[in-house]
Amino acid sequence: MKRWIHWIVLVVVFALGTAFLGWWTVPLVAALCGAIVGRGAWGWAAAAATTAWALLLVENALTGPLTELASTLAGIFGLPGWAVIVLTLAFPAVIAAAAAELASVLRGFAPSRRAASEP
Amino acid sequence: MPRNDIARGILAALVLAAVLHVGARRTGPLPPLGPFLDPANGVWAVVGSAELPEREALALDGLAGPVQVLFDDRGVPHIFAANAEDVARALGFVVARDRLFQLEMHWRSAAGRLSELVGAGALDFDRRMRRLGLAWSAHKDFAALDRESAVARELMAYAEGINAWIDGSSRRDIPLEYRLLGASPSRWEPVYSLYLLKLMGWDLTYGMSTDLQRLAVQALVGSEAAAALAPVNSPIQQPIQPNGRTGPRFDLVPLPPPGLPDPAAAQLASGFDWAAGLGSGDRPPGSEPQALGSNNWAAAPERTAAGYALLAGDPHLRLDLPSIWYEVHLVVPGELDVYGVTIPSVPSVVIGFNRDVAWSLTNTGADVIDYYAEELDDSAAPARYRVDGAWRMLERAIEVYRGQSGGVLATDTLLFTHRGPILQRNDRALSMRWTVLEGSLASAALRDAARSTDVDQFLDAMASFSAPAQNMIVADRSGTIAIRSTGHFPLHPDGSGIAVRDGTTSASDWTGYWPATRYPFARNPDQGYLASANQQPIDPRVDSTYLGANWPSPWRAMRINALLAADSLVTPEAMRRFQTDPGNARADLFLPFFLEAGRQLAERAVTAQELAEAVRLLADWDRLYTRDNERAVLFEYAMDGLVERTWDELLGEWQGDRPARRVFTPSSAVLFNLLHQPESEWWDDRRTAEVENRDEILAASLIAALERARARHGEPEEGGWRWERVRHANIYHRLGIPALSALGLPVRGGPGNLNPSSNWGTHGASWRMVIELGPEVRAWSIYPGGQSGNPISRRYADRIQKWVDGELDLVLFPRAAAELDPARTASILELNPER
Repeated sequence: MKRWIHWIVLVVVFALGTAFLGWWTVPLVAALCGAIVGRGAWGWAAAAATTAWALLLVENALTGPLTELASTLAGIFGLPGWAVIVLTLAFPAVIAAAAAELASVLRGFAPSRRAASEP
Repeated sequence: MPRNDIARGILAALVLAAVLHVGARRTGPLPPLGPFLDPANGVWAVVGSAELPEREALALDGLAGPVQVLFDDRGVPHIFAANAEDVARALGFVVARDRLFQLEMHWRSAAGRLSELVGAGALDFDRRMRRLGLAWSAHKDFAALDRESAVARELMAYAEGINAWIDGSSRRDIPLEYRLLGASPSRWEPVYSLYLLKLMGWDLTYGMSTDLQRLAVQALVGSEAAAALAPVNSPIQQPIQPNGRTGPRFDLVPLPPPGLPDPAAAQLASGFDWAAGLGSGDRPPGSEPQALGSNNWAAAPERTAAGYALLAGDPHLRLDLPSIWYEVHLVVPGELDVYGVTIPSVPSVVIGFNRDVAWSLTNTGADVIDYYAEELDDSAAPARYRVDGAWRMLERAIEVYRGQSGGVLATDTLLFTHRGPILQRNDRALSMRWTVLEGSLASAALRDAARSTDVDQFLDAMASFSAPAQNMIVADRSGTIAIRSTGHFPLHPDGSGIAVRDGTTSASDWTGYWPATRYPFARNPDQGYLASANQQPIDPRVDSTYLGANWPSPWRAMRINALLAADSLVTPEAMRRFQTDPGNARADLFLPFFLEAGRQLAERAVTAQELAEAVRLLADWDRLYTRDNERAVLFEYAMDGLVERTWDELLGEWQGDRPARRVFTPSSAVLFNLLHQPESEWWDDRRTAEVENRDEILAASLIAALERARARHGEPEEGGWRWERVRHANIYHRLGIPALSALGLPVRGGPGNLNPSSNWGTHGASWRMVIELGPEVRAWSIYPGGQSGNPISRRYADRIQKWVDGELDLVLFPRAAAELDPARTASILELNPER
């Protein structure tokens, strides 16, 4: 239960960060997540970032013709209609996963360096 | 640390770096994906601005009083304000809301600064535009404008309205195109409105110069032949100013044979191809600009069923999405109540009507550009040019071209003489004098015309309209109809403007402009109607003063005159039908020659069977360009072949691997003239061993047309020959993106029709309007597009199907905001002064 609450908080942070600060908050928040949680954080971060962006897409869909825009963009880039939405959801997933994973690996360095410096 | 952790770390770092790279930077044609895909601030936010809010109240700085803007169910804003400046401010605001990216494209096109927006691919275009000096000229005009004048104040208010929209816009208001380009809107300067008028001036020259074109022809076939192929007077006369005849007059004259090449002309012409409109890429090289141009006509009350004057207009321009036009209704009680189309960038109605007067424009196409061969003091680094034996300083401008990231792409030094910009090629320099670059009062004329209450006031207001010269047709509620070709028409010292002139003497300079009293003009003619379709404005037997040369063939003029002459009780519905009439005067005149030649040669030609079949099929044709017509294609292919075989003498040189292209295509009226010389040397196709005459060329063209039609469209009975499958209108988005364009639209019309279609389908009737000037003015209109520039808006392309079908919408023309039917009010915008 607690894990789910943490995950929902993560989703909210991703969503608010994107809305108010921009897309680049995704790797930052994901890296923070990876640094705190450690190994395995990448999956959590990817799922949370994707969910956050999906919720923001849904919010857009409530204000106008989102599917029309999706098919227009797909036409511009020569992709199938669904591809732009998939790309939009995959982009934060990949970036969050990579950032979280990198942070968690770097986190692994820290104790070993401390250990090496101990007398 | 375990080795696999290190590997995971490296992999994660690489993936992260790659995704951050495509997220933050452009990759090929893709914008930076991070800000682009961001669902809160990126492209997805655009969905929120697709439709207009039902009701909105906003504060707008600078307003003197509240302004009410009611958008009807066609997306047309009806702007009610207390004064003209508030109207202009509100107009700027709503135009920016609907067409912000188009505004950006307009000013950048004229200024030659598209590269900054779309990248280095636009550099050549930018260089051409800057060399023309459009922005240079607009800034001079703006500097000369009295800042306290009404027109200046309105230009500034319009700019403030646009900038207020930009400043107040949210993430959802940034148009899709900016997202695709990774760019942001730039602020609007009042002078940009003048840029647009200059840009229209260039478009309406068709990107051509008669002087340089004739020079290119002279280089190939000598001066006498060149003069005959681009004649000063059209061989078929049905002028705008009626000449007392009910039908056209055929002034057919023998064409001199092709002469010897003229090396001096070749040397002078080479290197200035783009200025001559040759191979500019805007249209097929050497093609006749049949699809460019416009129609307008009016019928006096005695020739209309209802007894009220009727007026129709349909300017033919490049078809774009969003459209060049934006439909508006502007009201200042007691001062202004005008409806029509404006061009985003211009704070006035360009074509339209008010409660008393209606007007429309066609391009006059007069020769308003002259080139002067200049002598410079130093071809490598010129500083002075010689006139009357003395050196004068060149005006110099350093032009820096930048790309999307702000980096310098190129630098040019532009030079200007007192005549205008210099085009330099090696050691040769031509300066260009062009009325569009001279002081223009078009903005003031349009402003005053919108307030006119009768034909005389309209003509007075428009008398100051200098460029681009227009055939202005006007009608009023009292039943008066009139037309006048209006603009600055140069007076040349030698009475002719067809040659490149000697720049070293001031005696070559223009001596002035035609006085307005001499403009081609007609008012309430006996025939009871007036029409213009870019034909030669005045019969040379009435006034032979040089006005221009190489006039478009008068096929559309002949057709509309015939239709109006045949209908003595014309109705608005008939006017609407005329606008897409499938009849064609060109086909009426050329078809008999094909049939006669084919029948004669079918008995003795080696290819008798094919020729007989082609004749049989073409004889079936009703000479109409209806969508289901299955013979028009054969005729058009035969005409293509006829042009290609006849004017082979005008082919230039091979450019590497690229085949030779025709440097100039004489008008089809000149070709019709030549049909009456069956043994002329022009008929011989020099690329063949035989020496052909007219009938052999006609027959060969016909056989080739049948082969081409079969190869491309199958057998004639299979349905592939239907005109709607052959010829299309293609309305491209302004960035040329197919997914945002309307392509392959069926058309009813071909070359020379009142509703013309070009080979590429990129030009056509950009606006159609019919107005009945009864006790209450009634009007109908359509244009191919929609009011919104947002590609996902329902109003982006909602009018296209009606345009294709030749239908018009009855427009709403309320006197007051309360008069607009609430059921037809889509959105209300209240603009209030900032407190």
